[in-house]
Amino acid sequence: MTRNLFPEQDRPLVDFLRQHRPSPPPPARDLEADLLAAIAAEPRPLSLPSAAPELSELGNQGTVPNLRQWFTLIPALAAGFALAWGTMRPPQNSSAIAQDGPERELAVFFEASWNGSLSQTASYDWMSSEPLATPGESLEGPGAATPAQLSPPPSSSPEQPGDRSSIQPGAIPIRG
Amino acid sequence: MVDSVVNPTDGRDRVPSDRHLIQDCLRGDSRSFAELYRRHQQRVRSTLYQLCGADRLDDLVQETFLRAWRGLPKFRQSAQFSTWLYRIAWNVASDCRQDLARDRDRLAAMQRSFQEGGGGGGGPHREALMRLHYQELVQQGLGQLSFDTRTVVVLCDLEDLPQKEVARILGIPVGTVKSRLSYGRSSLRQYMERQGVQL
Repeated sequence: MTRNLFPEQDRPLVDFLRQHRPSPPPPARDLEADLLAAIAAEPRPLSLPSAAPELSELGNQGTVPNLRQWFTLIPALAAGFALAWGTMRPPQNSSAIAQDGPERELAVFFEASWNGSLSQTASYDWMSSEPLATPGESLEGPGAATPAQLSPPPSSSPEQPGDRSSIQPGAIPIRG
Repeated sequence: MVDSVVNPTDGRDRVPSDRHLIQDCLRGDSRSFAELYRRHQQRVRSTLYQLCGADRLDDLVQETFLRAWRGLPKFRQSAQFSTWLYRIAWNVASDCRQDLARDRDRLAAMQRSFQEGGGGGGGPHREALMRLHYQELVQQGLGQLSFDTRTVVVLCDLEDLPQKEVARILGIPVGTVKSRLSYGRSSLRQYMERQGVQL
C-alpha cells in the first residue's frame, strides 16, 4: 500500500510533527483486564446470518440468505400468494352458499345482477326473481330503466310512493 | 496489519490473521479478542490521544474496543479490521469532542506555565524541556485545527495511513482528504512559525 506523498515543502513540517508527537500516557495496568471483564459481561457477539456473505468470502461457507433478507422475503412471498389467491380464485356459486329460502333468492338475485351486468342477460324483478325481460327485449341491461318504467304509470293502478316492486335493479326511482 | 491466513490446526507457529481472530471471536472466544486488543490498542490509543487528549483516554480506548466487540457480527470481513477499528475510534472521539475545548484551555495553561517558568536552565535539562515544549506545541497546534481537519492530519501524518484508507475510515472522498490535509498542514506551519519554530 502506498504511503502518503507530500510536497517537499511539507516534509520538514511532517518530520517535525512525527518527531515531536506527544506520546499518550501508558494505559492503566488493569485496562486490559477491565476490558475483558466488560466483554465477559456483554452478550456474546452472535454470528448473525448477515455476516454470512462476508464469511463466505473467506471460503468457509456457501451463500446463505441473511436474516434481513429472510425478514423481507417471507412477507413479500406471503403477500404475493395472498394476492394471487384473491384475484385468481374462481367465483363461488351462490347456490353452494344458500340452498333454499330467502337467502337463496337473494343469492340468485346477486348472481343474476352480476352476470347481467357483464353479459346483458335477462333482468329480474329483484323481489320476486321473475324475469322481466329477455335479452332480446332489453338491450340496456338490468342497470337501465326500461321505457315502461320511465313512463308514468296508468291511472287505474297508481304507483304508491315507496312501492319498490316496480323498481328494477339499478334503476333510479322517480318520485312524485 | 497481519493478514497471513493460518490453518487453525496449524496456527501455533504462525501469527493468526485478524480475520481468523474475528471468526474465533464470533464463536465466543474472548481470548482472540484480547489478542486483537493487544495488536491494535497502541495505534488506537495514540489516535485517540491526538484527537481527545489524555483526560479520559483509558475510557475512550475501552469504549472503542467495547463497541468493536459489540459490532463484530456486523463487520464486513472484506474490509480491513484496522480501518473499521479506526472508524470506531473516530466515532468515539467525535462523541467526546465537546470536551476538546476544555483540553485546549488546559494546554494553553500549560503553555503559559512553561513560558512563565522561562524554560530556563541548560544542558540536558534544557533539551528535555525543549522536547516537552515542542510536544506541547504540536499538541496545541493540532488543537487549533477543526476536529475534521485535525483527524485527517493525525491519521495521515502522525499515523502514516494512506490517504485512500483515511478516506474510507472517514467516509469522505480522497479529494476531501487531500484538501483538508493541505489546509491543516498550512495552518500548522503558520502556527509553528508564529511560535518561533523554524521549519
